[in-house]
Amino acid sequence: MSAFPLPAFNMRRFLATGLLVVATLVSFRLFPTDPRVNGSVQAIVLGIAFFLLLPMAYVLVVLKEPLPSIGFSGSVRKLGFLSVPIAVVPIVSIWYMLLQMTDAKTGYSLPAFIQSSFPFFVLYEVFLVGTIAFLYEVFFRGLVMLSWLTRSGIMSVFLQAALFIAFLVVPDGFGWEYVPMMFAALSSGFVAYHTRSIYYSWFSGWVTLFLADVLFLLFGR
Amino acid sequence: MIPFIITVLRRKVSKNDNQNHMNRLRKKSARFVVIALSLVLSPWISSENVFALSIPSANQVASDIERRYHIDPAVVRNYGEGFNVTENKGDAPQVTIFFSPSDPKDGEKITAKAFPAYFSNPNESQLYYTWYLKRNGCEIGGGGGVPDYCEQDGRGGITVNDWKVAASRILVTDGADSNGFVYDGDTDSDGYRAQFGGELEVDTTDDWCYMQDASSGAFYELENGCIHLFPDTPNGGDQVGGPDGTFGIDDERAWGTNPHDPDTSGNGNKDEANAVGLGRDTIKWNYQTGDQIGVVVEGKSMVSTKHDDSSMMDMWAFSKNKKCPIRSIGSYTENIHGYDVTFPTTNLDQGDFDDCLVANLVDPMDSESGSSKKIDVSVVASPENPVNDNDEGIGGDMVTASASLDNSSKSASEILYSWTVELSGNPISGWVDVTSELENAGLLTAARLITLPNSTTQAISQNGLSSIGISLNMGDEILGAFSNQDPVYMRITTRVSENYSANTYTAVTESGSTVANNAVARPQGQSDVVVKISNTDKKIDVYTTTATSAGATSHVALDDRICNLYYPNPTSQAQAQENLNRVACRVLKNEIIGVNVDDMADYRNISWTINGASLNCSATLSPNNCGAGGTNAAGDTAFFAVTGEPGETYTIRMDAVSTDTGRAVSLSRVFQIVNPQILIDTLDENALWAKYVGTFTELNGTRNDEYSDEIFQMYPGGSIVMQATTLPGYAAKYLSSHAWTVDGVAVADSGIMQISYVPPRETVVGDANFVHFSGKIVQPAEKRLALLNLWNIDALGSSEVETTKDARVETVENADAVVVAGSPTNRFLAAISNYVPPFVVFGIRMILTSALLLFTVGFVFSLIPESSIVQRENVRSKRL
Repeated sequence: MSAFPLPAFNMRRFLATGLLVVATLVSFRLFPTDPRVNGSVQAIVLGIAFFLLLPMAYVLVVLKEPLPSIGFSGSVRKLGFLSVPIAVVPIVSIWYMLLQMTDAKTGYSLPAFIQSSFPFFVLYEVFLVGTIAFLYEVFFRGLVMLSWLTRSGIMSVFLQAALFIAFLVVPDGFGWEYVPMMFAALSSGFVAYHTRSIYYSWFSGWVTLFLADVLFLLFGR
Repeated sequence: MIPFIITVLRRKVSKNDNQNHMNRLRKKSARFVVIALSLVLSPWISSENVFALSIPSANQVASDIERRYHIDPAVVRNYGEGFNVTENKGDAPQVTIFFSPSDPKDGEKITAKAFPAYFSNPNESQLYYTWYLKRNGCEIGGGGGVPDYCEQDGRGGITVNDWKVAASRILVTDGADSNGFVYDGDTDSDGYRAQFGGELEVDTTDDWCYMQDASSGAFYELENGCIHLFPDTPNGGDQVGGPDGTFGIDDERAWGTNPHDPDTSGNGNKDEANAVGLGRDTIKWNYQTGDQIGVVVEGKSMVSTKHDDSSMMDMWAFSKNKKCPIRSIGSYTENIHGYDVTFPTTNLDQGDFDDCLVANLVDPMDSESGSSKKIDVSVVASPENPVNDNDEGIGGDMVTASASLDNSSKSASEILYSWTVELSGNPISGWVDVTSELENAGLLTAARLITLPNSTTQAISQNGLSSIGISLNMGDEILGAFSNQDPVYMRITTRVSENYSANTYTAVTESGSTVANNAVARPQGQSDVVVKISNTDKKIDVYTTTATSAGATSHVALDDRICNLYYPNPTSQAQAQENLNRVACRVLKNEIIGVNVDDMADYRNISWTINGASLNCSATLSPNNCGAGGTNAAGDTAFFAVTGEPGETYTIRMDAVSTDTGRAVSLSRVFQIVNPQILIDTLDENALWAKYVGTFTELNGTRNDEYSDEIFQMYPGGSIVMQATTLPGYAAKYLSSHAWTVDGVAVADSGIMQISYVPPRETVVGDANFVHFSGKIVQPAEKRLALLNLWNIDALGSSEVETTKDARVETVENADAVVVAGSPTNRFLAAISNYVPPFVVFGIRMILTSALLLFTVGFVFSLIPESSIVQRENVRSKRL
């Protein structure tokens, strides 16, 4: 149960935030790409604009609220660092079991140059995984969970995870490469719910993804 | 839809502000979210193709990087494996000695110069060069028969230190006679305190001396700390460069330096600095057979230590780069940044280093370390079977002979090449020099004609002339006795020499002066190549073909002659390309090519080969050209299908025997398979011209202007006048259709494959118009059928080929015209519109979309009244 009291319900805020969430996700999916520019670069740049800058601008300009209202706050350090292992350990354990008992071993993959080179692996985990995880934290845990669905209590964790999973799976279909991200959505959702901070949830999500890759490299190949 | 729902909700809220209504409203809001999500997500579920962008996933992005940059996992793995042993691949310092002259005579002054490498000292003059000179007979240990001059340090017996002293005395005194010096006191303050790792401006770190193990590549730290390998002062003195920094009267006397002159040798260094070899990369002495010399260079290597400071490894480079054997290996551990770091060590003493120095002695006459007296030259010539045109004197091949040197350290401009050309009727003997005749006839690469030293042979000679071209248009006046012979053999010989005298290189100048009389040219080398030349007025003519088919029977016949044009001064891309057909006639894949030699009635035993395989022609294949009642002589024609891939070549060869003379004649022609291409060129050089891109300098110094074949220029308001040609040229007749576009707008032909187009908006400076030509090359069905019937080539293999060509036309300022077109702003915007990169367009679109989203949400937010806030706190939060 969250250590923080639930805020007052504000219909105007609820509707506008919901509109922003839906419009952002739809716009992201339908945004026309330029074939002359690398697709991954476009996705990352667009992700930074839509999932990071747009929510921040919305909170500051439209809602006229401070950024901590979408989780840019790290005041509860003890609770934050305590909740990370509690959230991550079960999730990673499940991933380990999936690797041992299902097709995750063959379905999940890491690029060869990541698997072959430790420096590349470190760069990949720290910069690429860390950056993308942060984008999802701001949008799904910060805007969706802590701002939009905040009145739903513990259910907001599952609702934001469901929205995130739908966003991942519905367009492209299920793939094992998404599973660690789904798990990370749940683990960091719990952390964000308890701490109302996306810093700890980001750390939790990153640790989940990092350990998922490490376990795959150790036991999945 | 969404604004409508919001409006309805707003009305409802304004009418009902009690708790029950708000509860209902909350439920409806939830429903709204579900409905909205369903609406938004429905197209995703219905069709996968709707979505343009994948959600960014680190895994996918990395995979994309892997695909985009073609990263081969095996290569990456190799990199990783290499990374693991990188530590042992460090470049230890090296030094190479070069001698001048490289083959000194007894008593001659010889200069040895050291070229160190892989030191991190900013300047090579900051390194310590410890030279050691072993004169003939001065073996270690010595004995009764050792000459007196071997004993240099006055300590008895011959040691490495005697060799060091012998060399250092030369450096310190530079030949000054110590008998003229007065040793009544030391007034010159010429001491020098040496630093480890060479002289540094600021010595801020500890010194760590290392030696690399030659086999493992591992670096070992000297267990007992750093040392210098400088000589010990003669007559029992200490090692020079010691920490006292003084060079007293006893030292001056022992070394033979002037106690009243701090720089006896006059090179700018103090006497003791010269004794330690600071910056002394060169030493001169009077050579005697049997002399050997070595140098050990001390400095900072480019390998960093693991110590927690800014130190680099202090190391030595030995003249033969033979590293000292590592022995007494040990190690110690130091805690650095919380980790235990292990330092491998070795315990080398002075005796070990002396052994190492002995192993690194260099003999100036040894070609492995010094310069070789003989330069290894090799000469190659192309093409393989050139033809001399003894008839018209214009269609002969161009033979190019190139020389390459294997063991010369000089640059091409410091090498003198002298070329001679000889002819013979056989490849072994009877050579007749025709160099001057060829040069006078303008058939040789332009260069100066000289008479070789100590010879009557004439040669074309010039520094840096590493290749020559010989135009095989030799008439009877050059061929002489060989005019009626076929084949004729040509021997092309080059003689090369490095030119220097008294350390100054002597060049053959453009003005024609040759090797100076006082110049000594060496080392030298010589090589030649013999080229077999077909000397006949016969030539293999090349034809396209026509085909006729009736069911499963097909016949072919010669059609148009191709690859037969030559333009001495080409004025267009097409003409320049046509000239290249003389070297290799370019043909398309799945083409049927006919070859014919005219007027072969007086020849017998005619045989054709293609890449060495027999090539036969019969009446079945071509009744007209190969049949008994045909129009050609028996065997003078052959056909072949081009079945290879673009880039491959065919060599067609015809051999025959003259019935008149009984001599054999051999002809050959090279074909290269190419993909069909389109060339775009200007129709009117006054209206539109190829862009000038720079100059190309040929080996003989001729500078040629280079023009782009894809970028053209015109003046403001000009018209685009262009024509397209095919490569090979005969492919034009297979063009079934073609189309021009300018800036995406279709433009009709103004002539055969020509356009004359005026852009709808008058062009201004900075504008760029994009021209696109596309054509479809389709072989006639008859020929495709013949390929199938005669060569079993499937029709799928001879299908149509789409070929395109793009060009850009830039509008440039006409300096002669009065500028009236467009305002500067318009020109600026026009230029921007042409050159904005795609990622900028993407960024602008993204920013606009984000702003629109924010504005829309903000607008909706402002529409919903503040009174809709109906619930301050729920019960559950109060409990908490």
